[in-house]
Amino acid sequence: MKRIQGVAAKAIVVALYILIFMWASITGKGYLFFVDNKARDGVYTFSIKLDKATSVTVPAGSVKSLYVKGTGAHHIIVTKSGTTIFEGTLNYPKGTKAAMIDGALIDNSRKNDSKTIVAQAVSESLYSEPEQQTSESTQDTAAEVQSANP
Amino acid sequence: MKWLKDFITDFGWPRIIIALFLMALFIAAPFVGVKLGPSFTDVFNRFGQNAVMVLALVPMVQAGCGLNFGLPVGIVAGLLGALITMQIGLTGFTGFVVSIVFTVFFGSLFGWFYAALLNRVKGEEMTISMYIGFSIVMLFSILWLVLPFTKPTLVMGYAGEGLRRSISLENYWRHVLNDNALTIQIGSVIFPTGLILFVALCAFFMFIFMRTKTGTAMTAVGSNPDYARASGVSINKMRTSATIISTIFGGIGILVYQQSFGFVQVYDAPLFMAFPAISALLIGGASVNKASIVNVIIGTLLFQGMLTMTPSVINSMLQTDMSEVIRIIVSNGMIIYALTRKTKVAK
Amino acid sequence: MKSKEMTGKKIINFLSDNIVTIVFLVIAIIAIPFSKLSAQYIITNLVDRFARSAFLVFALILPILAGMGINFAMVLGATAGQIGLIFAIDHRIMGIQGLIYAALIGIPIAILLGWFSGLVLNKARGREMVTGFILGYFMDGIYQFFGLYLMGWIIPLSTAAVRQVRGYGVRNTLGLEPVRGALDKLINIPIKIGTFSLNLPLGTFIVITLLGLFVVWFRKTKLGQDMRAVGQDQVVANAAGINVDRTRILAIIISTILACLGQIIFLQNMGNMFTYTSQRQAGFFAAAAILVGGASVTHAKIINVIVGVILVHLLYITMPLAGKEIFASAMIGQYMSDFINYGIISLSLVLYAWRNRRNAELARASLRGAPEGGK
Repeated sequence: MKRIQGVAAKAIVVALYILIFMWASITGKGYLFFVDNKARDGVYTFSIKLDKATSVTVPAGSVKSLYVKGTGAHHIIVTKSGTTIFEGTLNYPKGTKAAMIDGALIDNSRKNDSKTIVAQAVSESLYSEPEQQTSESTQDTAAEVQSANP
Repeated sequence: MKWLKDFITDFGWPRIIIALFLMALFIAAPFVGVKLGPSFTDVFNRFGQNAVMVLALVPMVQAGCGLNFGLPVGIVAGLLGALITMQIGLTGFTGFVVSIVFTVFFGSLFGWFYAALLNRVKGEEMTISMYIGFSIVMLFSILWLVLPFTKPTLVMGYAGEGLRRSISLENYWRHVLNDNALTIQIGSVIFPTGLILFVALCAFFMFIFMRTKTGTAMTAVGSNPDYARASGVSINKMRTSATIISTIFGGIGILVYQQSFGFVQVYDAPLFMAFPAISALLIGGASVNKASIVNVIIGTLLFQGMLTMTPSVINSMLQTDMSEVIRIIVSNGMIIYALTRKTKVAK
Repeated sequence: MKSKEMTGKKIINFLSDNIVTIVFLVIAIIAIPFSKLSAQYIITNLVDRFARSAFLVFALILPILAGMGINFAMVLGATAGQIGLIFAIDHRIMGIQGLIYAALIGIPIAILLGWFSGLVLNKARGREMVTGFILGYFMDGIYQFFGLYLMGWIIPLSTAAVRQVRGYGVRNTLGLEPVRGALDKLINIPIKIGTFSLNLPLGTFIVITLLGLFVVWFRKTKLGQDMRAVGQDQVVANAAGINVDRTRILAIIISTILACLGQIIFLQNMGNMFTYTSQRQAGFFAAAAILVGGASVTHAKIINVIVGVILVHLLYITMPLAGKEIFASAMIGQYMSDFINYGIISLSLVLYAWRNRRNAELARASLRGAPEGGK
């Protein structure tokens, strides 16, 4: 009897472990999200703040790649030199690996007084050289890493 | 078959594996386009460059103080000796000899304090000596910034405050042992006779010292303290002389290293220098409480041979630099092996 | 009169027991005014840094309890945490889920590594500390082999920002933006009193408190009691029917798991990770903190962790600036704080070994009888 209890307890732990793991990987999944500030009349630098993340500045004429947690609705704030020019919902389409918004989409929503922006589903490799947040220059060799280890 | 088994347990698996590995590297070298001549030259040079520092560990192991992780105490004495000599402006062989004299002086001084400390912490020497080593390197990093060195070749840029990170020995005594009238060249192999002779001299001195009355008493203290105490040997005194000798040799070891390497490296450079020396000694067959000069020679040859051959051979085989990873695993693995081996000596 | 003497003796005892902490406190108190930092700056930094690294230091308590000294092999646990984070970032799991994901991957690895280091340390009785230290370096080699060669070759890496430019291996520095501050910001309470403002990372503090309660509870369990018994005397514990080897291994496994979680918490606060060196700092820092906090090789309490973390960080915050002010060189301040760090560990190890030695010698002298008596 005791042995069965022990096995059951172990099984429960393993099941719980797998469940939490699944939950984390599904609900926490980040999706690639491009902010295109390239093609647009009268370009200006703006910043985007998604949900609780720190705001990201997108300089005029550049593309930023970010991640958003999960598809569907996200809170978005767009600011231009400190003042909020748009606040509302960003809709991330389902069933895509990457999506994009650009200045035109933001401006459209502003003009229509809409509170939502619907991101366009795009291919992951739309921007072949997306600007990564991490430093590009770290081409590392083992020796470099090593110097500190006796 | 029994003798083989005995031999293996006696010699230890790790050592056999490393020796076979090194042999395999030498055999493989010509096939992957690595020239053997320059490789041998490298091995000889690096052997001479490092052997004295490995030798420095022997007396403390013999006296029962364990592996001297605090070798940096000696190393900073050597750095101080070299830098003072350079500041005075002595060059060439004279400069090298004078820096040894200074090193012996500082080494004895530091070694005495170091010994006094270690005598109070018997049983915990290794962990403590490691941290003492780290501390003294950091303390001297501060001193390198504030000591009144003025020679433009020594100090940093225009500000003139603090020493450079690495100071070239080019106009002082670089290669004074490696490159002199004694050097022999056979084909593409250059044999640094001067360097090897100097190492032999140090080893010979150590050999004689370990056979003097002090030396044998020291060994007695290490292998059987109770017996030593009963026969009237002062344990603390023996440990003190072992530590001082070890510290002095550590200092001379770094001088030999520098003249071959070509630079005096200060600040945190000596922080981890004890580790390769300890690995080499252990690869040579020493244990935590027993070490001989033969261990030093075999160990340094094997370890430095491995360090020389792995980058060139493995890199040309796999097109990637794995030698660092191999070095870390082998050298630290060797230390762990030694620390976890059951020691026969009674406490 | 007598009670006065008693209190005098008590004070002296207190001073000699806590000499390391007191020395450190004095250094910190001297450094604060010289650094010319505002109270606001020091306190906000201190709260942030406390939340960052307290968990890591807790990892050292249990092995001390089990008589194994400072578990320098906790670096193995930190490594496991980093492996978890690499996978979380590579699989693009964000926010608090990302941290949980990392922890769930890290824990099994930590258990495996903890079991391994427990086995090794059991073979190195009497020199656990130095062996654990070297074990950390040894693991560096294995970890680098794993991170630089296997990852992206045998184990797929899908995110370009994680991969090295050459196509395989994990980068030297890894941005942790997707999980940055995920725990700190989970429940964030801004406090404002007059001009004084502070962001209290309550989520992290709750986790630290829970861990503290766990340690308190654990000491009272059967296993916790066994550990104590083993720590006091292995022979007696063995005679009492405790499986000494197993108990010691369990202490190390738990310590390794805590180090794994601690490193994940530490790194989510930092926001980026030096893939191949961050773990080593964890070991150095935790050892310094717990010893500065007044723990010894055989005794450690939760209060030691708290005091130690605060004092060491106080030094880290003030020393470089104070050095600049006192010696006109920030470099000196940097070296000075490194020196004090290593020096304080040496000092506390020396004091402990010294005391032990003296007691042993006194015991031996009493066995031999009074020295004047013979001859």
